[in-house]
Amino acid sequence: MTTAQPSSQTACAAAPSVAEVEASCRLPVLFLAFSGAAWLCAGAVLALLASVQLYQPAFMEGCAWVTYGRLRPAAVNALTYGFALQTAFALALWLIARLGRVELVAPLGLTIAAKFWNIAVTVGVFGILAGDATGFDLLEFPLYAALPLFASYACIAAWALVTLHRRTERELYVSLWFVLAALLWFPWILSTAQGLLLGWQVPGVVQAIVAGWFGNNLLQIVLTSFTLAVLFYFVPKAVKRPLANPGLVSAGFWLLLLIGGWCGLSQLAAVPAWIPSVSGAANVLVIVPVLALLVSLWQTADGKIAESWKSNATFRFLLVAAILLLGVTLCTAVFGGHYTQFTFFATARTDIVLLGVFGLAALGALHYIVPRLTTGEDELPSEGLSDLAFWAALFGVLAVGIGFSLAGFKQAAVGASAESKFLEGAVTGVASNLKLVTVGYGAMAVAALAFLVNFGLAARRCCLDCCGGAR
Amino acid sequence: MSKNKKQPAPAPERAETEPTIAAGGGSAWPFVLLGVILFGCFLHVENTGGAFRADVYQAGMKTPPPQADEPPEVKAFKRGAQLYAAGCAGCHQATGLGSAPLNFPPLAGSEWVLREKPDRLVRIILNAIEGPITVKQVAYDNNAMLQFKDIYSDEDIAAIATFVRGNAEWGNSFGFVTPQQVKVIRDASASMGSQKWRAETLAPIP
Ligand code: HEC
Repeated sequence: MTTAQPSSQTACAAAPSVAEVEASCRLPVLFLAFSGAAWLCAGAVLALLASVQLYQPAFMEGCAWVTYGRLRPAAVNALTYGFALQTAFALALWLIARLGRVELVAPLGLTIAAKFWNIAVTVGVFGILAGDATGFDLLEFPLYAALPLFASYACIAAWALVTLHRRTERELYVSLWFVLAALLWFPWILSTAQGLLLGWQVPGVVQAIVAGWFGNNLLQIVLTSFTLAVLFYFVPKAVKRPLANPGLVSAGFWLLLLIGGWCGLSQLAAVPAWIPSVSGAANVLVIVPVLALLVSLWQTADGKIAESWKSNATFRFLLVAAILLLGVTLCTAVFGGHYTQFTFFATARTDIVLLGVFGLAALGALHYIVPRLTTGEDELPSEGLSDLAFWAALFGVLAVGIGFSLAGFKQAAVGASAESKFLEGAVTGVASNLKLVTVGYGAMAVAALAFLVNFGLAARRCCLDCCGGAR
Repeated sequence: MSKNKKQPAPAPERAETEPTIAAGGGSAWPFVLLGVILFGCFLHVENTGGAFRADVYQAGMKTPPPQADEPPEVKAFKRGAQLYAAGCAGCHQATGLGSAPLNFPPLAGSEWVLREKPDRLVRIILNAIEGPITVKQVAYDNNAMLQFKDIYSDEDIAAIATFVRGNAEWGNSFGFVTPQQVKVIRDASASMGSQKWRAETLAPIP
């Protein structure tokens, strides 16, 4: 795709200025970013309430709307579609516009589509709470929310791709490979899974396979690709060095797409044995591309890591996200098999990828993008709130990830021995770990709130600067 | 993006450069590592992959557990038992002994059933039988039997016939009836329409 040769057509005469590019991004990107962060806050609160019920079953008893079976899927879907994917669209649009040196096509249309996306997510979350969930992991939105969701996605992605097509900088930088892959991958897996599960209504065993395949592709390909797009854009930028070892990057990119889709089914039960077996193998194989990509980033930043950590608010988010990506990949490869089947271990993976790998990278990127699109400065107005957002998010992710993982391991140990008592070991015995999870979700909500307030301050300052009218 | 991209366009407040790509690079180690892991993966899939069969659900097995591979006779017999319970047992009883007071003849040890060929049995199942009939030295005359030709497929009737003729609990011990046999008889007796057999009309059938 890309070589190190100088581009033959450097930004041609028609290329818009950075200011023009940013002006076209302002409305849709800020809207998506703000609603994404708001959903992060809402989703974290829902997840917090759900997690309390794991050790305090009588909590909020008596109202069907807030029982665990509805709250938890509502939370996960709010975090996935409301926060993760929505924020990913903001990042994708911004990266396409910046790296392609092109003004966004139809910023107003994008904003309207984004509005509809939010409406669909809201309807979906309430649909789940009302008891209309479909029962497929990460696809719980009922059809009446899933269809508008897909339609608004189609608009956003179509405009994004048209923008990409019109770019004046013809050479595709690495980040745009990942953005493009994710933008095309997502509609494919979503339409296939929804079509097979809700339209075609495949029989039982196949349902589990399709839903598992979708969930894994969403995490392992779509969200991981968006994460990597962010990492490959901001890390070289933060350390002010060119991206090292591009050969490694292209190998990593293609191998990730090739292998990633096979992962994540290693814990399916009651399916033909070759599926978990092959998927377990893919879980291990996917270490190679992840490692290749991270090594390239590490070679880029090597020697400047400590310095950038201190000087750059975005970089510290990205560093943690990269470490978590490596950690979750290794952990899934080693422990993601039969041993931890039917435990909280899988929940831990979902939440770490969603909130940790993608979530932290996205929050980091937004700490760079939002001030540029509002006040025009390099940092958000309140440094204290930036720090709070980072440390709270870091603590939140670690607490949720570690809490669920430890609970998962405890349950696995109980499941592995016939002597241990199931109730005491695997249900009441993990309460302390799950309390940590509750605290973690709380911290996540605080981080989102801190970012939102900072965002609001920046927006206010921007409006005051422009006599209260420009935005 | 390229190295010489030093923002030719005017960018007043901050001339930010976009990330660029260093020259060179490219390493073979990912592929070497991939090869090594791939080898381990083959072993893993070989040991736990159930030989890629759609009917092996248990990691570590290469063939499905035995009952799935039953011979067709056994399968047909089991299916026949179910169909018998649903379709025939109401009259001929689960014991196959029928009921003399209710005028239902027995199938266990019946000379109409236990013949060299299943031809009479299959005909009776397809078109039913009415009128006087003697089974095991007892005379019956009842036209209640149903016609099954429009109810059961060739496979179903073959399964029922296999069950009835081969049921050791009843003392019957004849072999397997195939759907092909049923089809031949069904075609041959198609001209009868919905007319039932009688003991006399069935007599020439071997
Ligand atoms: C509605 C009651 C009824 C049902 C159901 C029924 N039969 Fe009969 N069957 C009869 C009667 C009554 C006769 C005696 C007919 C006669 O008097 O000519 C008979 C006769 C027979 C005979 C010949 C006599 C003998 O005992 O050998 C066979 C064989 C037979 N039935 C098999 C079956 C089979 C197999 C089924 C299930 C697919 C079946 N029947 C279902 C009522 C029934």
